[in-house]
Amino acid sequence: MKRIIILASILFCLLLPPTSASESDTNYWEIDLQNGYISTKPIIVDDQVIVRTSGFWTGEDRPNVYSFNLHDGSENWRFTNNGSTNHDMSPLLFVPAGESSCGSWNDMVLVGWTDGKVTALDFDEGELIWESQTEVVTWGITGSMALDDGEVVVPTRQGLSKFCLSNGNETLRVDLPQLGWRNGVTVTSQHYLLGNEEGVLNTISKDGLVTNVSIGDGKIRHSPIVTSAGILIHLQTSSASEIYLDQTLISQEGSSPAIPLQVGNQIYLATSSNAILMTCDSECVVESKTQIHSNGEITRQYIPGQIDTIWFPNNTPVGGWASGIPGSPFEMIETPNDTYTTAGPGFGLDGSIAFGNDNGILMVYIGSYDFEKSNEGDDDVSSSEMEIESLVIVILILITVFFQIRKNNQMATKFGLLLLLVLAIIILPDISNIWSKEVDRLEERPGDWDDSWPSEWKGTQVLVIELPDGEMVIGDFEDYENVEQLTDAAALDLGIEVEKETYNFGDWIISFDGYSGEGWEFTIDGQRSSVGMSLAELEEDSVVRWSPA
Amino acid sequence: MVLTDGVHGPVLAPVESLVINTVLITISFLLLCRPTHSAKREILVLTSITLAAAASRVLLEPFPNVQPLTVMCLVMGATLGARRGMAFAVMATMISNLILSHGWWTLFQASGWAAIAFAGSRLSLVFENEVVMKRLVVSAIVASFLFDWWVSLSIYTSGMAISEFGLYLLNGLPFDVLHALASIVSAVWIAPWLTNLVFEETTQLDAPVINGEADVISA
Repeated sequence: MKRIIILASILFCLLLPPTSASESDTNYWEIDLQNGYISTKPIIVDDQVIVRTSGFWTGEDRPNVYSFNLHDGSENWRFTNNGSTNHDMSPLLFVPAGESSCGSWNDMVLVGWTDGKVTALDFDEGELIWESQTEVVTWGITGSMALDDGEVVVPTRQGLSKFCLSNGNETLRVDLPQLGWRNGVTVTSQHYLLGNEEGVLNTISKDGLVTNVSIGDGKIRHSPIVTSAGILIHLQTSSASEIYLDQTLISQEGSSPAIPLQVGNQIYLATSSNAILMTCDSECVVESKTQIHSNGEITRQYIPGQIDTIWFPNNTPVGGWASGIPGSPFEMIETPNDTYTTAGPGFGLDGSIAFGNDNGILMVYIGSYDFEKSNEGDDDVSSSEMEIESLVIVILILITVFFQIRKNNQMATKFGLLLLLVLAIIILPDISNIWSKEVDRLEERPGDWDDSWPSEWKGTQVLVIELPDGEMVIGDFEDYENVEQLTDAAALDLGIEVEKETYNFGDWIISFDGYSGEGWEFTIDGQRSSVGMSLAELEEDSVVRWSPA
Repeated sequence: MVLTDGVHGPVLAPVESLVINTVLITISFLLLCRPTHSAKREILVLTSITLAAAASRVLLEPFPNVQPLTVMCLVMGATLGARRGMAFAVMATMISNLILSHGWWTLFQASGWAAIAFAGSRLSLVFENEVVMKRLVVSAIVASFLFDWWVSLSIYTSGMAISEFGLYLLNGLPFDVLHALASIVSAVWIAPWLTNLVFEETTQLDAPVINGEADVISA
């Protein structure tokens, strides 16, 4: 009786909830802002890390701009915009103190919002210094603003506005016929350059005269790049992307282009397929590529004499950021909270780096953090797991053979079966995936196309969310590999907040726009999936429908 | 197939969870309290093995669908009889699910393993304190598949077509095979030891326990 009680007691100890102790690291802090996505890079100025979130727009929850102490992560201030109810992604713009013909100003942070507002916040206290309103067509400002001699130039939803930095007075307003999205503005000595959703490049003189050219059939979602060879545009097309120099097509690339970055005569670009390096002298030439799925902000970390590298957010479920120069293998930086990522990192002059991801988690590495050492540790864990698996298999084989030689068939059978079980457990994920795909082929999907949808959505990926107050539909997506990816991207465009929980078998939708009901389930082309949303693979013309359970 | 695809079936409200818990605990007590001649020692043995079985489920949770509880239910049914075997199954399921995750599926798991324990009491898997290994292995394989399919019913809803449910079962086949393989391993490794343990610890009990229980159940 004693042995059974002892055995039960020991095993029962396993039922106690496991405790996890995170390793203390004084060079790192993180904070879950629990306030939507971080879709644009944090900025590090002096001892402050400033970051913006998109917000969940439910109840009284609204997007915020936060300031944290670089060294300990304590919150300095936050600014909430109660009017913003769409996905905010216009990059923050720090403006050092200065003066111009229209007045003087202290250090401040300029923020463009999807409710059309431009706000100037005091750098130290976060208080509102001034705000100005621009037009809203579904949403307002989403592109990057730029400074021009004591004024800020703002790419608005359907035009361009310019405000005096000292008081926010509008000094220039240009209305344009086309809508823009994430269309940053470029300032040259004589003009402002601005693209839009119809592939038109506007050149606006500083007194407001507009000329324009059509670049191609696609969308311009970045600040046009002025090179010595001409104006470079990475045009997003329906199924891929095209790089134009002025109006000449010079390269066809992958889908969903990132926001390119210019460093002298070198241009860094990226798509869902590659990071690309171009050099522009008398002409622009693609120099080299490295494979990565990057669709967000490309950023440069530059500390003279110490660091000069380019960063690409990895917009896949694996997440993380890659650094390096296209043409050479990238160094992948993994963080404790990796997920889909489009925001570039923010950099401090002391080497500090601030990362923000799609789960709204801000992670700050202070000073010269040794990423290489950190990643080596992760690699070690992975390789040691493989070593353990191999070791277990070898030991079981040896024991089985040993008993076989000793003609102890009973023990040989026991260990042989154990070996078989271990092998089956190891290969199960692969077998299961292959099997699942075979099973999926057994049944023709019923289809879920609605003829009232725009015809240009035909053949693209479409997402439908059946909310209590009506159906939300969006299409024209491509290249998303699974339901989770498409849902995230489409919800972003629809301005719908998605709440998820992560389990050991994958992510699980808790609510759309705060509505959880009895849970949510999805169909692909009218057919219920037998696997979770992160494993449910999509075709290029799949219709995904989320409905309350 | 259980909990491997991330499909759970309906989410239970607190009141519904309370109802399921109450039903399962009541069944366990009813099964244990009758007949009234149960020895304290037997209860202690049963409780200890139940805790060990629950802990083994938690311990093996990282391995998909490796469920030694299936074979343990067969053996407990065969050695202690249907009533105690079923009580063992229900309690082990409930205790382990407190850690693993508790919900609508607990009802299906508990009833599935209870049915396996009942089958174990009727299949003559143990003869003169020795496991009839071939019979146990075959029973374990069949029970593993049937158990998985039964538990899969927890995700079946009124809007689901039979063909969809069939595809769902088909998708889970690799996991069912793994469950069966794990049950074979459990049968050759655990069953003889567990049978011996139970007999050693309960040899002083009154003889008619097994037959008496079976009569009560069938009545």
